[in-house]
Amino acid sequence: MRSVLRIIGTAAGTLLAASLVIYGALALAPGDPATELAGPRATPRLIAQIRHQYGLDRPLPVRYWSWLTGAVHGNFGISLQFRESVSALLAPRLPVTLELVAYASVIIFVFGLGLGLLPSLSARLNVLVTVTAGVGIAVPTFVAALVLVEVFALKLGWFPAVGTGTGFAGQVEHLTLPAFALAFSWAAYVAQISRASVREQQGREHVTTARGRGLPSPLVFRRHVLRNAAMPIVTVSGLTVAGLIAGSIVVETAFGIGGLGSLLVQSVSAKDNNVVLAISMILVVAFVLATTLSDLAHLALDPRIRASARS
Amino acid sequence: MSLASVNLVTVEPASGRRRTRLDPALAGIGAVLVLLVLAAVLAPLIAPYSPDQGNILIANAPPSPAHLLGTDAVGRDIVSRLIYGARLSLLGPALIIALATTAGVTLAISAVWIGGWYDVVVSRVLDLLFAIPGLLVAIIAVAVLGTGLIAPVLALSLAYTPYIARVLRSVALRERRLAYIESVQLAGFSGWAICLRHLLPNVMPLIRAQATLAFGAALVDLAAISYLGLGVQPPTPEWGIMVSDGQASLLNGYPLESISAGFLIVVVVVLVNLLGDRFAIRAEEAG
Amino acid sequence: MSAPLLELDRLAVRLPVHGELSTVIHDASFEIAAGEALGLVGESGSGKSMTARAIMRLLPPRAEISGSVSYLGQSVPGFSRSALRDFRATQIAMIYQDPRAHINPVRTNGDFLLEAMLAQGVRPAAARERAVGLLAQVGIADGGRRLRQYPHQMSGGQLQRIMIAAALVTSPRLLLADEPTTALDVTTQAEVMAILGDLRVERGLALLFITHDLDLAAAVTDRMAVMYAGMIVEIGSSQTIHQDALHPYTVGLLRSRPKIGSRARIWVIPGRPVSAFEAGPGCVFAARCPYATGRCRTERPGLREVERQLVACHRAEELKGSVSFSAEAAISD
Repeated sequence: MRSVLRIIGTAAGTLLAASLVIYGALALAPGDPATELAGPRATPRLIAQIRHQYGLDRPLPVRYWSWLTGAVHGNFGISLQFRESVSALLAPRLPVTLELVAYASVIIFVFGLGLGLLPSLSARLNVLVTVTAGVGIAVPTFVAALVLVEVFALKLGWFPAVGTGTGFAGQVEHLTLPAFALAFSWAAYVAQISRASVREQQGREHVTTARGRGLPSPLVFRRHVLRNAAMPIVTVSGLTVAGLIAGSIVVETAFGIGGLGSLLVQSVSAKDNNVVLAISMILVVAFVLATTLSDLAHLALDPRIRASARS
Repeated sequence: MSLASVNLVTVEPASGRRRTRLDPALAGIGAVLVLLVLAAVLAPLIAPYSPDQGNILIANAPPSPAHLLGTDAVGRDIVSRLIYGARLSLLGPALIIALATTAGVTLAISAVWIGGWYDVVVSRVLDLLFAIPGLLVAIIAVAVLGTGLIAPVLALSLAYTPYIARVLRSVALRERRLAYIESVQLAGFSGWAICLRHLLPNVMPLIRAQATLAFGAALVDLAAISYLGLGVQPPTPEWGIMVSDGQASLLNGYPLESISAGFLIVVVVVLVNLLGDRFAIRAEEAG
Repeated sequence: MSAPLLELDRLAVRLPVHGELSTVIHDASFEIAAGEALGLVGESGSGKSMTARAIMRLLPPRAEISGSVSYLGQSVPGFSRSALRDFRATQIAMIYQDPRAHINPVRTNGDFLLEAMLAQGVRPAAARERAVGLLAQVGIADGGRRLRQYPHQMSGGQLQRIMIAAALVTSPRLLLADEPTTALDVTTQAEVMAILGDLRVERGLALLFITHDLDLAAAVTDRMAVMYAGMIVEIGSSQTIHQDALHPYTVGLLRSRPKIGSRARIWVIPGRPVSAFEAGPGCVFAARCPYATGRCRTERPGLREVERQLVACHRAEELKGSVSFSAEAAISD
């Protein structure tokens, strides 16, 4: 129980520190949001008024604190670019990104884990899986995106090349190529890790013991190989989901999907720092959440860690 | 009960000659990578055309003896742009790894050597950095410092520092506990002399492996930043930019620019990863 | 003597090492009668453990074996998958040198003890009762609580007892013990050996006891076989071999360890132990034997009856009682 609290405490600390660093860095960025807001023909008086109105004349720690308390309540300020509340801007985009990441996670689970476990059925597949995974890992998301568009949208015409689609079927159809592009290298990574950890466990002494006791092979595989191999796989899955969240930035831009990621890129170019800050923090929260969950899962799976954390 | 074999005289194994034989696969990978770097350095001598000047009349030309991979949407030779593009595409990650390795090695070894609260603070900061994906750090850095090469390179150096430092710290911690460091210490050498002359050479194979593996990841991240339009700006030749530039052509039925630049990225990353895996195996054998 | 329980006849094993098959066992022939304890003695790398693994058919993939291993007259290598599973599940059990590595660390002791019984359809309550009873017999009193604990919560000695109990849950007739006490500290070693000895006699179990410790083997076994470089070089009653060893290697092994209460010099066998695949065409020990002749280096001796034991040495008769090694011999090598 104590180690659970410690993991959660570490996560909270990480989030707080990350918010401080990101807020501080953006606040110190060159350029004055008040001038931007006031427009090109603003008088110094108007700028000063805007500065006061948005609290920009207060000291940095005070501004950070009021931003933080606002952010906790879902208030991220106003977007310079759209003259609209950031929360209202993000609300319709968040589900799009979540759907994309969820879809990609399913693909990774099915294909990554499936591919990784293939060699345990037949040793002959080992080389094939190793090579496929090794090349797959090296394919950047944006390259995977374009290759998928070229092959499945343009050559074969199975899926649309861009856009979000309407209705559930339409959304799934439009998100299929982006999700595969996003999942591609991570599926390869998961395949590589699961192949390696299953292989490692199969060579372990305790598996020899189990085989030597005449237990049926499927039982040995499930109880002694897969169960133990699950620990590194779970750790990697946490990293994977976190990586997908970062990867969604690229994929949404590549496919022109209106999610958080594409808005982030757009806002960086437009110097819309409130939006940049809000999306960055949401992504960091998601990232920390994913790694924390995998830490907790690891704790549940490995009695040795539970014990060492207790003592 | 003593081991019977303890009392049997043991002579050095006869077959002790399998160390440091040149691995042909390693040599092959190394040769290809060296050729790539040479091509980047000697781009003006090798590239058949200027990377910037195109002939709009031959835009999106198919491959031909004059233009082996055809031309892009504004009629620039794709092969020449790929060769020139290798410069920034390889230099960027090399800078990132150089900075991250220097910072990581310094942080890890000083943390292990000084210990105490300093070690705690360094470890916390590294954990924090590790918790945020490199791509996001780079994007925030661009938001602060503006587009170009400097912001993402600095940000990614920061983001990759924990990859080197965290692994190194745990190994250095183990090495430090080994008796030999203590004996050198007793012999009266200063802390830094011990670190540089004894600790560092022993963790070198591991540093090499981690740095090589991080190079591939840094290359992909940096290319992604360029692809998003947040890094170096067109018309600079760079592989990430070429994938992005070529995207419109691809949708119009001319996929060669995007695909060839993407292919080069994949090839380089595969080779570098293979190299890193070999280094990692060697580091494991050495440690 | 009745028909043997287990019989090995000219067993040879080759394992893939760096892609090539290397011999790890040249010739292992012995038999174990029901209820009998046989010691298999040799230095590490001599092929003892591989012999046990060959009997269990637990060799690494792509290993090649020749010769025969038969259990109650049936060929073990010829077993079908299901027959092999039955053989392992009901007839034979093995305990290993390092229980910490040989028991799954993420499953409870209860899982480890019960899974073999449950796989055979024993009801959980009955299986648990039997496991607790067996734990008591190996000297673990609070069995019910131990079943819920994990291996890392046990000491090495306790874990080895659990391993022994787990080997016995299915009432096998033959137990293979591969250096079961080597990883334990000295007092625990004695306790575990005593438990093993008692249970064996009580249940009429046959035992193949693998060890590098000739004295220990002599103390707990009826007969023993001495193995060197994948060859059995001497086999006979434990007492005879302990007192009147014939093979120069056995003699060297016996005298290369200090004896309590004796100020006699420790002998040193020159050279280092060779692996089976390094041995030349002659006697596997020829390279280290001060008495080796030309014949020893070209013609490999087989086991033959000399006095009361079987020995693989061309010069066994003439050397009897006169074999000696000295530290000087090591230097001149």
